[in-house]
Amino acid sequence: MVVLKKIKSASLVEVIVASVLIVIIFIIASLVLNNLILNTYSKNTHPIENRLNELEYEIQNDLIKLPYQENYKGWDIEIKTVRTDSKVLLTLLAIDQKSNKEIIRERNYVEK
Amino acid sequence: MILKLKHKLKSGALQFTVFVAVLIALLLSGLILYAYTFIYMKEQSKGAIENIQLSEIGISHLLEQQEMNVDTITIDFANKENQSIKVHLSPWGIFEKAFTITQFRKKSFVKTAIIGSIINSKESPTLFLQETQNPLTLVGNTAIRGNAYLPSQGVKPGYIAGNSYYGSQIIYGSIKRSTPSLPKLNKNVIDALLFYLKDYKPSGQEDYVNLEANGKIVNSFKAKTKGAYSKNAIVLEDKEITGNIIIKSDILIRIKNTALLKDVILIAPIIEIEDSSIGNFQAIASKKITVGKECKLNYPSALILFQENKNNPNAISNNTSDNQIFIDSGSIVKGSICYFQTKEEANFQTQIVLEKDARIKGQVYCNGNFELRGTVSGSVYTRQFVANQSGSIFINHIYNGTIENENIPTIFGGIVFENEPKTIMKWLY
Repeated sequence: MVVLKKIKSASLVEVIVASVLIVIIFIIASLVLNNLILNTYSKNTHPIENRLNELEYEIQNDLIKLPYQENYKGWDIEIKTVRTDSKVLLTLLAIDQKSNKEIIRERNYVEK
Repeated sequence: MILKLKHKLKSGALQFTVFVAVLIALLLSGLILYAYTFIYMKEQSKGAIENIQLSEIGISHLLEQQEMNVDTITIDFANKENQSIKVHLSPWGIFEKAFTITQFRKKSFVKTAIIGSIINSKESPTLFLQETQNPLTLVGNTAIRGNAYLPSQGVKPGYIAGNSYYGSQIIYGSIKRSTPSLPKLNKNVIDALLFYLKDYKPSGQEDYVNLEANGKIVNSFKAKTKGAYSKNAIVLEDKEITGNIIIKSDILIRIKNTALLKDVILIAPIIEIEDSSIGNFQAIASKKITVGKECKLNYPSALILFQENKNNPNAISNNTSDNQIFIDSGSIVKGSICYFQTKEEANFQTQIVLEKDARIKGQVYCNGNFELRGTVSGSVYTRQFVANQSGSIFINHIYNGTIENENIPTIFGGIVFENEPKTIMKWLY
């Protein structure tokens, strides 16, 4: 009560200015928070990267045939071999259907 | 003054707002900092994982590469920035050493391996006998199992001192025609051997290792090669020497069974390995290599005798044990045994002797005469066989020897042939 006593009633203008300030601050805060959280979620490519690792392993062990295509959790995965002059490259390309985000991996391909 | 100010401040609501704003700002900045570090860490760990995956590319690039690198080169690989792969291929004894370093920002990952040509024990030649217009003769308890490449005269059973061939079948496997020359080695291999035997010396003071030091001497393959050189004989005993080290003597190296050598290279005209030694090393000699009884040389070891006799082809020493690799009974050598000579015509001396009950798991490449009394699991490339029995020399005879492609992994690595695919023999440290 001792603390409260110190704060005397404020004028109307003061209250309006204060509330506008508070609102602006809250809006900015929520925007920033929103952005942060959305970003961390959309940047989370763990599942698809894991899937790519899995596919890579399967290729190494001759479990799937090339070229290969599949759809995994909203991502289009395409695997093909590209022949350059001296060597064969294996390209793994994953594209997000919604955001068109791409993940490309290239590996040396050893023909068996 | 301050008191006066305090007195003037009446706007409690505004004060409160500012207080809340500061609080929120602090919280937000904390959150942002947290998210940023989180993303940064994630990127770092991703980079580290990618480094490891990409190093695989570097190694497979080197497996395809035929030429040696002088420098460490960056391989062209379309990938994200801050990421690079550098590779280096250098000779390591008779094999090759692959070195890959991948870098992401400041993080780097190094992978090194010994590589050599693939030997497929089911499909590669188990026996390759050069075409010398001389048939192969099998006597006693001899067995050849696997793919045999033989001269046009083929193979026949024979007699030595009253013993005939006791097997039920001549070759247990397929027979194919061989060629008038042995499969060619990669040219770099010969160059490397000549360099080791003639010119090799540790270049600077910091490259020397002190062999007098007691206990353990270790040098990683990620660091520069270190060496020891002496004009006198070197005796290795009571020591453990591991890694990227080359030991050279101008006279002789003797390995006692109290020494433990791992992955090192030994160079001397004469190399003697005492009875019951254990280790894993490459021995490069120009006159003689002897392996005692009950020795155990682990994979990938190599015994290499390189004889330069092109200019004096008729110089035959009186001592028959000169100019040969001798492996005594009860020893096991896993790896490659090689004899090279520069002269073309054959003689009647024996260049590789494998005693009774001795065993080679891996590969024999003999550009000369090979006397087989023990067992070879893997593959044998030779110009001729000889058998020294009851005072006579029998050319292209095998007496009580075994060559087989069993008891060995299907795919393993050996010395580097020209235009043959390569494989990893051992990961290094």
